Amino acid sequence: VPPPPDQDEQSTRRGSAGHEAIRDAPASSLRFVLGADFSASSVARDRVEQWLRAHRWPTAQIDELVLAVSEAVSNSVEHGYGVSRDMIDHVGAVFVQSAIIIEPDGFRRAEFTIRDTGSWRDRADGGRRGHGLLIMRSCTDELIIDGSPTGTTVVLRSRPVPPQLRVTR
Amino acid sequence: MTSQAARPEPVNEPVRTDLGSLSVTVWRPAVPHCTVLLAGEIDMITVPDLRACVLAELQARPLTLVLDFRDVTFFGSAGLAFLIEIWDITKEQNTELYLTSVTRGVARLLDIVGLAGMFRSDTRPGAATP
Repeated sequence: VPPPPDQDEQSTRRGSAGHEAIRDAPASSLRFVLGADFSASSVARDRVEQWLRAHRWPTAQIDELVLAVSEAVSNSVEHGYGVSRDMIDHVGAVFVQSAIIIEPDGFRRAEFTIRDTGSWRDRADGGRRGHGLLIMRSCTDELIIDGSPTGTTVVLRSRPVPPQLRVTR
Repeated sequence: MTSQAARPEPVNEPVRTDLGSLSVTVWRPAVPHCTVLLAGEIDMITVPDLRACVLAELQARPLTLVLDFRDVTFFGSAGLAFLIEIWDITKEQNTELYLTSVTRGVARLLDIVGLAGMFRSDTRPGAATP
């Protein structure tokens, strides 16, 4: 199965007049790549928030998921690639993907995968990264971390939310 | 002690500094008191400048430091590390630290890491229920 295209690209590109796509349903998945610098987590927050809003996700859960994704991206940049604040031309990239999973009972979960090709380092920053992990765990139903010397993949799975009501006129 | 030289003068008008996605307004109505109004994102980008700004204020050893969170739109682990450091410094130099108008997001984060009881604080109206 080929990976889904970045269907979200058009709707989230800002300031490009004439691209205001009106669609019946928002993109079911989201994929984007961020350069490994300190602005990456901020960009990821904006995109994830817009995507979840388009899916009418409960607001309180949007805040939690945006925070969790932001922490995962920050971890990749700061600890995976060891980027510092002033570095703006690091070659590393952070890959972010999300999808909505419909469960048999109709409830939905959002799943985010944040991947880097940096080197996994254990807590060497006096607990700051430990806080990031604790935040990710607290804001999601499931946190899976697959760390290896050649990269780290973090999967964040949301708590289930009720099926979206489709209003037909 | 050389802190006398670093002691800032009182400013009756709040002074606002723009740090990109965060704006920091410092109000020092009398030297022993300082209020810092935060607006925007407190994240890995803005924390270093915010930290420098608040540390400069703490050099004057104010009696109280009030951090006002009412317009904070994002607060993550970088902000948390900043708050913990400020807590340590204020504790050591007997400056009373008070967090006011704490947003739901900030309160939630302090709760997650088990530090909610460490700070004297009040919440922004409507932010009490998570």
